[in-house]
Amino acid sequence: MQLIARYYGFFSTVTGKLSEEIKATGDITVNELVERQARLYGFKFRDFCFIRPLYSQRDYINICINTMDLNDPRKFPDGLDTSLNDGDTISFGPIGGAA
Amino acid sequence: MLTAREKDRYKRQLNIPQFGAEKQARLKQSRVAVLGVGGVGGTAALYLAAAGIGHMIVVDRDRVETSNLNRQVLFTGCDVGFPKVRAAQQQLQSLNDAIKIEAVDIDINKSNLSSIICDCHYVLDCLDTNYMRLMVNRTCIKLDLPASHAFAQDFSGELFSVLPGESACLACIMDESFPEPEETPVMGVATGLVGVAMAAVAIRSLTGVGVIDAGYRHIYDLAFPEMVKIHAAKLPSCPVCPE
Repeated sequence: MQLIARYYGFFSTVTGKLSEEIKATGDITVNELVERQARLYGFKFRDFCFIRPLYSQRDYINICINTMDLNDPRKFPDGLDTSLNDGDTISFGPIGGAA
Repeated sequence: MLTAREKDRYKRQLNIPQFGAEKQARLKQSRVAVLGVGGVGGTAALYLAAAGIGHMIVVDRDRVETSNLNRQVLFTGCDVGFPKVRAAQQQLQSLNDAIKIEAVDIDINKSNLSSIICDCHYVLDCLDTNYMRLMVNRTCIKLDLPASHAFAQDFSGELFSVLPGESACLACIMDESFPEPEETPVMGVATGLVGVAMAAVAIRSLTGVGVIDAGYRHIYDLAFPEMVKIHAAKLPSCPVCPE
């Protein structure tokens, strides 16, 4: 299975990439992909995937699949356990840079 | 009312369906603040001046540096070393002498921000740190002012617009601890695109044409062209949003 990862903002800083192709053997969930990338790029990658704003009660998942927000339970009822499909584009954002 | 000269100047946009002279007159009567005239703010200011915003306040404390010129299209090599707001005022006024450009060459802080923006109809936050963005957000919510906040890095940019009380605010989605690089790598096309998008939101808000799309994070990717649109819910425990 072939996936495409896009990195925005601090994700591009951590990975040193804007995009990459990822080859996975067999089924893979979003959570498994995050763990795999964290092993490659370090713990900061995982930390950036789950950011909890100071006043929030929950973590926000900074990931989109095919431009759709993984935080949306109507689109992704399984959340982090969502299985990825061949050809999916997974975007890691947001952008926190300067203007 | 528009003068004959203004009708001629804005002829091409006056012919847009649902726009017309009444909306143009609203732009003429509008007052906006552009906080930071770098890559995003400078681009937004150019398009707002061209569109005929009646009164624009541009605020920046910096001087033009050579390393700004890859993205800050308001400036030329001749402006290096001069205050940004002075160069911006000159450039914007030469683009449109029928509008008022007010240059404010100060360091924005929580004591002076309210007095700068309190009479404005829209605020464009084009500042470059999360601390400053969150300060602008707090002040705009307090003054009940609609605002847009911008981010840019590499080939991508993000825009988030806020309608106080109606949509999520910036503090609903981020805080000062969010990571940000010391010196952001960025292409001028990314800051330019966000600046244009930001000017468009301001025009929509001031005229009522189209939708503001407040509470949505718009992420534009110019390396692998796509746009991601993410809804941000109002945070019940947000300390900034009005109850």
